[in-house]
Amino acid sequence: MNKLWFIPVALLSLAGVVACLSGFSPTGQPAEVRRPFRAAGSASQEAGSFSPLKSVELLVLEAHGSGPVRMCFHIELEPGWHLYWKNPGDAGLAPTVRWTLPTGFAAGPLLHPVPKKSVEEGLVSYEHSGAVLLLCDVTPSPSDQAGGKWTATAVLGWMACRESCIVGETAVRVAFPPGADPLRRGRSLLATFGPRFPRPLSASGLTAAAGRPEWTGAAWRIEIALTGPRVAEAADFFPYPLEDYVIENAGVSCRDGKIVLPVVPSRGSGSPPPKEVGGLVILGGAGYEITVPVALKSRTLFPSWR
Amino acid sequence: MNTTRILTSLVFILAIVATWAVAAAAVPGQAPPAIGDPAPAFTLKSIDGQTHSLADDKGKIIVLEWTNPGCPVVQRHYRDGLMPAAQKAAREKGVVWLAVNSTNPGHSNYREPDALQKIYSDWMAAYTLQLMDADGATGKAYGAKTTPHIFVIDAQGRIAYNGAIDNDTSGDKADRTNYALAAIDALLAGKPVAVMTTQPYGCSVKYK
Repeated sequence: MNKLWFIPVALLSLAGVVACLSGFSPTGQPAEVRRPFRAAGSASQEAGSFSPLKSVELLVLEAHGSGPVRMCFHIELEPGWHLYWKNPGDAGLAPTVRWTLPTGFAAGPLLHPVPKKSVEEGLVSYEHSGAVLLLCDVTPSPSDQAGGKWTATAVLGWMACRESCIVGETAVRVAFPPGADPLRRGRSLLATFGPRFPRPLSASGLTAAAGRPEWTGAAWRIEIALTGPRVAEAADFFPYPLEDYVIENAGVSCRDGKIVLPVVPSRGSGSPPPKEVGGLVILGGAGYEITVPVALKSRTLFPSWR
Repeated sequence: MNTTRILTSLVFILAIVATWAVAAAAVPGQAPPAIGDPAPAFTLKSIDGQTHSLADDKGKIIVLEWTNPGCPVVQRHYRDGLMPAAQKAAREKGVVWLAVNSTNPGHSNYREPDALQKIYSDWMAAYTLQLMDADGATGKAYGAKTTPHIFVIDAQGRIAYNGAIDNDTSGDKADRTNYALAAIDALLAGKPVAVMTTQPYGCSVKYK
């Protein structure tokens, strides 16, 4: 009979199993706003004339007469809808632009304001909502005379989501040189929206060290040390997309002066870490841009399961 | 005394078996599998009423495709014929293709199985089965984030690919790479899968 001690031990094991199960069960999350189902938008719009983009305009912000011409897309979204940052996060699509420009002209990448981070059901997304300004520099052809007259057409491709998502395209056009009124309007928008754009890290008084990678068995865990008087205020890190790596967005953090960025190499565990990583350090509600090299320790070894 | 010993042993074995079952099953909240890890087990109902387990396809290459017909990215892949063509090509090579719908019944994108049958039939879908995962437990066990999101499981039951269906996020590339088909071809040829992980793109899985 003294061996009956097995019974409570076994029952406790079963109780532990039940506790584990209940702990792992999905818990209630804040309810999303319910909206009617909508299908694809704009070019393939099927849901009537509704667009989550109330308005889109293309404006010239600076016309110096030489060098790149800074332009902006000024977008106003319907309440509750959002577009995505250059790194949309775990889901979504970043906006794209197809330009029609005079021969020899070139358009640079879209420059985004600092997004808001949203986490729902463990999925991270980086979003723009309300009124949004996206910047872009267009460089005229060297053979084009400064102050020449030309027209730019842009087709903005977008995915906008609320509870459901709509994708679409919006074509906009601008003439150069701009008239006095559009230029004044562009400058006024820049004055309003300019502070929402990332600043260099030096403006925060912080400095960032090179990234130190460590292989965790399935991902590279890159640590970036921050130093400076306001280091305790650095609250988050929004990473830029990385070609040939998948960012584990839910594992990205910035606290105690240390950014942690886990990335999974597309080509498996035999791959080296990225040579360089970038993103925004979030401090006091503003975003400060960093790009740092990733320095692999000479003796770092990592396995290949292949 | 013998009865007590038997009873004690039975309870003890039951506890061990239960613990093992928890470890082996798809447990929401557990870290999703990495490349090379065993694919989480599941048993789900298909939209035509069949009960289907991952173990039913043991020894075969399996594709899991997370789907939601309310997502415009899914709509594009089906309406452009890309997804049905990939499903057909994979099945002709003996691959099992399981579409999984983890849309929560409270979400406006949720559709009942009958409605899903009509939508995907109109889209000429060529998957083996579409499975309903209304509580999202299987989606979360795999770490499915978007629709579409693709997992390729090798014949040994290990995750061989996790990510996007292709490298054409805006649908305008003339020369796109279908990662799922590339992984299948490598597995069938006994070669390493070159691209094992990519960033999936599309709408978020509507778990809530």
